[in-house]
Amino acid sequence: MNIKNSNLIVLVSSTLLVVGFIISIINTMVLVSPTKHIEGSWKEISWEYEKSENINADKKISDAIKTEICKELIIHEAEVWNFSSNGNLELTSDINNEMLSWTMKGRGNILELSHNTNKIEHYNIQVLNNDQMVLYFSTDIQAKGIVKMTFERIKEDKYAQKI
Amino acid sequence: MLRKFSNSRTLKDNIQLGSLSAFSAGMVNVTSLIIFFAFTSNVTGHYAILAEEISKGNWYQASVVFAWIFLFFIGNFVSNIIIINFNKNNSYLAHSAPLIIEIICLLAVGYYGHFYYRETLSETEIMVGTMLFAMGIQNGLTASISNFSVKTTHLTGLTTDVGILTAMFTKKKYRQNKQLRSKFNVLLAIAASYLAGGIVAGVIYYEAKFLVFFAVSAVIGFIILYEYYKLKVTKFIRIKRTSKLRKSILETT
Repeated sequence: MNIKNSNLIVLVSSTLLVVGFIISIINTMVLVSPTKHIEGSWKEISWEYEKSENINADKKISDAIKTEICKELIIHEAEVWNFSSNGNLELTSDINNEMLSWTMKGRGNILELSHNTNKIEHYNIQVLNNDQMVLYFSTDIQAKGIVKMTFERIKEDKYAQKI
Repeated sequence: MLRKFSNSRTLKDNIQLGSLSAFSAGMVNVTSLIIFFAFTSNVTGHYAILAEEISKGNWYQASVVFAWIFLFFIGNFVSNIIIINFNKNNSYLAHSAPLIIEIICLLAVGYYGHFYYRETLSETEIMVGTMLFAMGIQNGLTASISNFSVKTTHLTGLTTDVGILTAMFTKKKYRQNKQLRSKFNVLLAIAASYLAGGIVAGVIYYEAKFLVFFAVSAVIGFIILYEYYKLKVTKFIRIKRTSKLRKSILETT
C-alpha cells in the first residue's frame, strides 16, 4: 500500500468517526429517549422464569410464587404501573395503590425504583417500545433464577376510561 | 515514572506508573459501575453493546454507546497529540498535562455528582462519557510513554499476555529470560492494582458517595507530584555534583 492510499484511509476513517459522533449527538437530541418512552401506563401481562437453576421447572410463575416473590420486593403485587414524567411511579392494584420513585441508569437499560423507606431496586429493561415492556430481575425465592415481567402499554384513552 | 519515554524506561518506572494508574482506573471503573451501571475504563464490552443495540434497532441507545466509544478514542488522541507535540521541549510537562486534564474531568464528575446530580438519564450519559474520555487520556498516555508495555485499562490484553507468559514459563529457557520475567511482573502489578483500586473505591463509595472521585484525583495527583519531586531532587543532586566538580578543578589549578 503506498503512502497516498494510507493517507486517504486515515482521512476517510477519521472523517467517518467524527461524522458518526456528530450523528450520535444529534440522534440523542432528536430521538425519543427511554425515559420518555417509558412514561405512561403499563399493564402487567405475565410473570415467568427467563432462566432458572432448575432445568425441569415450569417457566410460568404461579400466583402463589408471585405473591411470595413480591413480599421481598418494593413493587408488591400491582396490575398497572403508571410512570410520570416527574419521576413518580404509581402502582395500582385492586387492593391498594403505592407510590414509588423511578429513574434510569446506564444507557437507559436499567430501571431504578426507590421507596420512601430508602429501599432501592434495579430492573433490567430488556424490551421497551410503543406496545411492550419487558423487565428482568433476579430472585432467590424457591428456585433461584431470572424473572421476566412482561407489560403491555395501556393507551391513554383506555386508561382514562378505566379511571 | 513520567519523564522517561519509550525504551529508556526501567522496569521500576513501568511498575510504578502501571500500578498507580491501574489503581485509579480500577477505582473509576467500579465507581461508575455502582453509580451509573456502565463501565468506563474498558470499551470492549461497549463494542458488543453497540452491535446489540443496532441489531435491536435501539438507535438512541446505539448513539449513546457510539458517543462513549468515540470519547474514549478522543481521550487517547488528545493525550498523544500533547505528547507528540511537546515531548521534545519538556517531557515532564508533556506527560503531566494529560493527567491534569484527567484530574479536571474526574473532579468535575465528583463535584457535579456530589452537589447537583438529580439521577436523570442524560446526566448519567454525560458523566459516563466524561469518565470514558478521562480513561482514554490515561490509557493513551501510559501506553504511549511505556512503548505499549503498560496499558492500565486494557485487562483483556493483560490477561491474555499473562496466560501466554505462564504457558511460556513452563519451559526453563523462558523462565530464565529476564525480559519476560520483567514483563510478567509489570502485568501482575497492574492486575493486582486494578483489583485493589476497585475494592478500595467500592468501600469508599458506600461511605463518601461521589467524593470517591476526589480520592481518585488524589492518586493521579500523587503521580504528578512524585515525579515533580524526583525531578527537583535529581536537579538538586546534579547542581551539587557540578559545583563540587568545579570546586575541585579550581583547587587543583
